Amino acid sequence: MIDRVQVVAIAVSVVLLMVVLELVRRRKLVEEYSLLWILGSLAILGLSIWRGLLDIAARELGVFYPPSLLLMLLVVSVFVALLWFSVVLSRQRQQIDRLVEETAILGAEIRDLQAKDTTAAPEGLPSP
Amino acid sequence: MENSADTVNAGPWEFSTIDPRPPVSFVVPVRNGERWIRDVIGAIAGQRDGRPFEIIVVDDRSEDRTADILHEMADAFHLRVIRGRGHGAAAAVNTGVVAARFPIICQVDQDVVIHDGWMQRLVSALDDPDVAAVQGCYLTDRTASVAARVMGFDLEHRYAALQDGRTTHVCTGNSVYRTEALYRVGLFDEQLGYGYDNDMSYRLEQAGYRLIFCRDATSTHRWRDSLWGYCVQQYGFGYGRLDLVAKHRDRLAGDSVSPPQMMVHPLVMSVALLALIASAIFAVTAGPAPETAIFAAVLVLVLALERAITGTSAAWKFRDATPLLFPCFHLLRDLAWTCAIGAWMTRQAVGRGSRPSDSMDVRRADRCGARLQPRRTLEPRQHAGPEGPAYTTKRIPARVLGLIPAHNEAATLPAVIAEIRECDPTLDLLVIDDGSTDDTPDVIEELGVRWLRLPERMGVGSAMRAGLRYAARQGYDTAIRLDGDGQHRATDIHRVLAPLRAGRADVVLGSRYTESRANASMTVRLLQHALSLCLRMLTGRVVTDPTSGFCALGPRAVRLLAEHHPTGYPEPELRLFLSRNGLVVEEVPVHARPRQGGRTSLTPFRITAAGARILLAMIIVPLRTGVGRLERD
Repeated sequence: MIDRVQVVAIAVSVVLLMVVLELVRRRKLVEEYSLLWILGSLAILGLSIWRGLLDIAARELGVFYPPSLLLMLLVVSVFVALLWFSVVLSRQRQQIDRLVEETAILGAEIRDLQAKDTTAAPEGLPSP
Repeated sequence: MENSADTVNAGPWEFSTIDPRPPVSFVVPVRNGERWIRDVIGAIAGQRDGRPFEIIVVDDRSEDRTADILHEMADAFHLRVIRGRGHGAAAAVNTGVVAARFPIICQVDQDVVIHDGWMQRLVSALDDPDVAAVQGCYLTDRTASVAARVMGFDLEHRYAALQDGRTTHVCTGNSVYRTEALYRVGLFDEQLGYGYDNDMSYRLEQAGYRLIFCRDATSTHRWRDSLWGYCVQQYGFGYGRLDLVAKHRDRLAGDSVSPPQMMVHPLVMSVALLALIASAIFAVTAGPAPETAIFAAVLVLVLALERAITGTSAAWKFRDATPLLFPCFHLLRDLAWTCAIGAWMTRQAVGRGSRPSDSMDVRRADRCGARLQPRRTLEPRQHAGPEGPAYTTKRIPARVLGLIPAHNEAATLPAVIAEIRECDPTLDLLVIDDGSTDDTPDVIEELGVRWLRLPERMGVGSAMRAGLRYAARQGYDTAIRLDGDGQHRATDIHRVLAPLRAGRADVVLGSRYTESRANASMTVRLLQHALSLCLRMLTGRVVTDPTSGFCALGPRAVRLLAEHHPTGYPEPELRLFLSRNGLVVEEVPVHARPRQGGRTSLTPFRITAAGARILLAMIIVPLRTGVGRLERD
């Protein structure tokens, strides 16, 4: 019933799932971005437990060699993930821009305040 | 300004004989029009010229805040608010017409903002007693969304074909009617949805009246923003047209605003769709499936080609790229009309009455809610209305801040600052150090100017944003940008600021090439020329120096760019962005000189990357909707 390939596949996907969850537990991976990986490893787990699914899907789609369907799914999901990461990256870039600009402005405002302070403070009482 | 009630006798259409100008009644039907109604009524009130004048608003059972807004405005604007019967646009207009006391009715829709002089120009066309109705001209709001611009340019293009001022269709919502003529032909047909205005025009013509199109009386129509809204409206237009054609069989070929080729489009599209369905059936029953499919494809291609030709000529005429989208949008329009034909024929076949839609159908609140802030009321270039753009009014003297973005400019900065101080000692300066890695920070501190330091190199766009935001917080309302490499001469500062001070522009760009490009290399000149040409097409303005960094920014521009200054290689994109958001840009010639020291940051690789970015910007920026912030002016 269960052949070696299936055992290996199940083991690998379980390990992947564990690694992702462990990363989340240690706060190395934020929940928001872990979801994609959890879903991915669950999908692989599902496919390796119910191997017939891949064959059925391949037959319905007219794919001659079922494992190539797996490869295609993988490529598509990697592509989606990369695109999503680019979106995240762009958002972070905008946030960084904004932060850097704000720090520059705040720095200047602090200097303005200090300058006002030193001119306003009476002689002999230097401002801290 | 006077209250019309003082100058008017009670009877219908009686008026003071002292003033030779005929008095007018404005009729504005509205349903759920909270988004624009303030602008619309404000623009109407701005038309008062002393003659007896009344504004009748027919509130056709609005469910949003329209009633509250009208209540607020009623006293200040002398509105007569009448409650409609909820029977649609034609019925609401009729209600207003019946309530009107004056011999001329200006009918303005809830999403039409009329421009200065609209009333005088249209009403004077009614001096000829044979004329029953006059229609104004919609100008396209170039800051609206893509769908709205396609709609606007299409209509403007069709209006442009009306050369001699005569028309056979006075469109509703932007028109003036002779009250007597409306009564003579029996008011608007309340059975019709979209198309009741065509019906009125046809009946007026049959009664022997003439209809006039007046190109000088301009207004802005706020078309629906979304693609879905566009399709829904087109479905309504198509459906209304079928009812109309059923009533006036001789108008199957359209009228002067809807030319025959526009009427043929949905028919050809229907045939193409039928052919497509047939080919699908043939595929099962072994008929000539491929041939039928090819036939359908050819029909659609012919339609697209016709639209592409029209779109190109419109794009050329309006100096705007939007009409190039005509093929896409108008195939959608044809599909919507085809659906309308299907729905209409089905209802006819099963013996159910027609169910038309009209411009006052309830619009889904979520779509309007996305941008509750009203947009700028007025087109900046055409006129200034009652609450005209800020730059047309006298202002208190501007506080100007000079912004100098600098990255590794230690060698040239002292000379640049010294030159500016010599030319204009009163100008406040702010140097923005964009993550320099040389001793620029020390140099700046020694110079004794104000400065910002970005801890990392973020690019000139980011530096400008920081500088502008700082300027705005410190109470400056005007900014001028100079480069830190000494390219720009301090003696030109006044020249660049002059149009801002005169209130002619929101942004002034110093152009290095208005006279000649002699002192640039061949490749650079060629690139600059190509870029200028593209920007000219997209902005509709002369652009001689697309990469100039020397610019003066007025209050509106400071507020806009403090949040949204483009980044990367921002100058050409800035140009597009400004015109996209409806700011007035002017160019003045300045003297340029080669950089005075230090090293240019441009390498061949960077120039290529910049070119790719600019190319992308030229495609993307016109497709974006204008930024909402300006609307809070």
